[in-house]
Amino acid sequence: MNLNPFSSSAWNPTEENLDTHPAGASASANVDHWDRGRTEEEIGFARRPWRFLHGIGYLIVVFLALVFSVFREVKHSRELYQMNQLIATADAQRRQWQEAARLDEAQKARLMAEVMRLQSLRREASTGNAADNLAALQP
Amino acid sequence: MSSSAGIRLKVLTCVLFAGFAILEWRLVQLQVLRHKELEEKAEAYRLTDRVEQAWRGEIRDRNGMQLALTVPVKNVYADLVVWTNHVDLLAHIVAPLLGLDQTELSRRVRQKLNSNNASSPDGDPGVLLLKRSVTPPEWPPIHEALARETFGLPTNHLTSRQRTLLKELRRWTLFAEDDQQRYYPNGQSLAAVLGFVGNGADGHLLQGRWGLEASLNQWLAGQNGVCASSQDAAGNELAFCRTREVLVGDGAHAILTIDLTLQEIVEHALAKAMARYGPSSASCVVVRPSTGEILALACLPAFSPQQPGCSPPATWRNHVISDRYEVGSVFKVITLAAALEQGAVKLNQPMYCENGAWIYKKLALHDDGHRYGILTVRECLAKSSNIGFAKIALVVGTNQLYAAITNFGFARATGVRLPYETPGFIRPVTNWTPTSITRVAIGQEFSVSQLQLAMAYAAIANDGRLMQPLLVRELDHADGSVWGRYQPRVLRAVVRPETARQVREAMRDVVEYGTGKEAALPGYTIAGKTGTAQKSDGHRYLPGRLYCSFVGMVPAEKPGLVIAVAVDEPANSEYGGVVAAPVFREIAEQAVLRYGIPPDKAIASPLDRRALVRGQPNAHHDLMAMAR
Repeated sequence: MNLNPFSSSAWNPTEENLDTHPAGASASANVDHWDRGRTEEEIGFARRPWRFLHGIGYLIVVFLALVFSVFREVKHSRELYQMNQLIATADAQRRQWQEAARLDEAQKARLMAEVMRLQSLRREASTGNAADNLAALQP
Repeated sequence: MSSSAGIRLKVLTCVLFAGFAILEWRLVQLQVLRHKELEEKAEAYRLTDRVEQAWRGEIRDRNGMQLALTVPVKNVYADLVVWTNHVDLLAHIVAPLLGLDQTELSRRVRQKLNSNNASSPDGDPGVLLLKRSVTPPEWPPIHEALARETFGLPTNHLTSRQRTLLKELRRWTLFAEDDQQRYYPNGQSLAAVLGFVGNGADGHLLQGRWGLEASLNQWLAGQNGVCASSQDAAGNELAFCRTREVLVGDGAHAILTIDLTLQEIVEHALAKAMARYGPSSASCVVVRPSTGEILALACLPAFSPQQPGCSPPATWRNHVISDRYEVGSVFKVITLAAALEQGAVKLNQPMYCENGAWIYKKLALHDDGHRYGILTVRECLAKSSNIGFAKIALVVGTNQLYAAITNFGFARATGVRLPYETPGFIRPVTNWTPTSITRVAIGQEFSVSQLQLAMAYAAIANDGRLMQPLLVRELDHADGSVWGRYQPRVLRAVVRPETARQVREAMRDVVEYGTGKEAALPGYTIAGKTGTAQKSDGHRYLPGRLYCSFVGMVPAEKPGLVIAVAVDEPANSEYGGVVAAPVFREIAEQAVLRYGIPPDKAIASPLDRRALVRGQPNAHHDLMAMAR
């Protein structure tokens, strides 16, 4: 370990260090801080687990994003399906209502026809008398 | 350690790359190379075109009474795939549910299965229609009974195979499809006008085959709705995936000029005539002369439009528009109108009637046993003198008489909205024999339809204006808004109003002291003319086969109704004045009450005036409705 806090090279990073460890995210900055005063081999060796962890982290994030998307899609499909069900139910109810209304209409027409028939019988009886009266009263 | 980790990393990377490469290749294969084929397959599974049947419009009378309407029914089918190995079992279960005979049902299914096996090598047994026109309330109990049925399988501990079989049997043993049925609430009333429907064509469930159902089919049928959409694996539509939607347009409602109450009056009067005289047919048409509206049109014997197949096709015939007859003496009115219009004769002009027998151009003409000497022209009409009218026609002249006939609308279809209308028949004047004019003048040697005759009389009643007959008053959209209204149309003036008035005056004599006394109605002036024509087979007149008719108008001075009655081949060979005139009177008697037409003749006391309007509380309302 050749960490020398008084070495100016540790406090003033060389061009090589600047290229290898560019300033960036806070994690990188911390690593940079941790790396100060280490040799290149030491730094390379120490960074590998971090890289791996980064990779795993990215993978987990991507996986979670995928899972989230899938779940969101499933939820969306489920909602759509439920709405389809609602529409289908409403459609079926509309058909049932129309069917019932049309049957009622037919029933009403049948009753009206019956009323007409009865009226016709009544008219037949009454006009027969009227004609007789008129004929009798003719000069 | 670092080198082994690096190797592992490289191996993992390679494996991942290889995996992704395989996936990519598969994607390319599916998405690019087999894209078209797979897309078609997927769409065939996914996409569906759903047709929503348009509802056939109603036919109503002028007062909104329904004459024909459509009711929902279901047709019940058997899916023969599940029936194939269980015919007897399923027939045993299904027959009582549908009210069918089990043996007959088994026989029908087996017959269908055998015929399908013979005709379709792919082995699809298809479906069999088991019962038509099941009402919607009848179907759910049938469906529920099947859903509870075990079909001889154990009730618990079913194997997977049995569960599947049970599910299939419950689902597909019977299934129902929506259908439409035409319903005629008034039975046989107006059957010849309404016609009937048959099995659908052009994607519709019902198709008009006869009468107004046929002639108005394009409006009544409506426009089917189509919805291109996707469906899930169970066949349920995914409403959010609709790609194309044509909304269903239900059929229009046809509003007729027919008054159902008057129609029943007419049919009742005709039925009595049928019972009394036993003719082969009887028919009547009632026309409102000022508009040409047909208020009633009846033909007996009638048929049931609900089940037309149960009646002989001869009963389907609309005798008023489709049959043409030599009408005989009722045509003398037209001859008289032509003569008066030309000024060839005057009403009180005397005519020598040759004492009942006249030989003209070597052909004898008789006055049916009457020995008339000198009669005035109006007396010739009242007594229906053939000789008198033959002489009047000779004064008119051949070409003028022919022109008058065609002018009155004979020899061409009236254009009423009914199929199979006859234009009638008259030979061109160049083909007339020297004696034709004396025969045409009295309604022989040519034929006309009853409607043509009624419209010609209506022209005389309407001061000489010939109207287009109107049977359909308006077409309404399914929501009740008016689509189109047919207006009364004057075709032409056939005679001057003064001529028409003179003809009506002469026609009054027919009823007051002539051949049509049976048509007289107390309190009303009636103008009319009787007709008794011998029928011919095309070569000679057939003895004893008569066509009796009466056409009249009430009241005579300002006619509100023209009523044409015809009784074809009455069994006891009576005259038109005896057979048809009483039918006219019976109809006119009730029609004037219905429409509140006031009496126009002196009435002895207020009592009979009260009697005239008795039992008709809505008479004024009906008159107003008629005037609309």
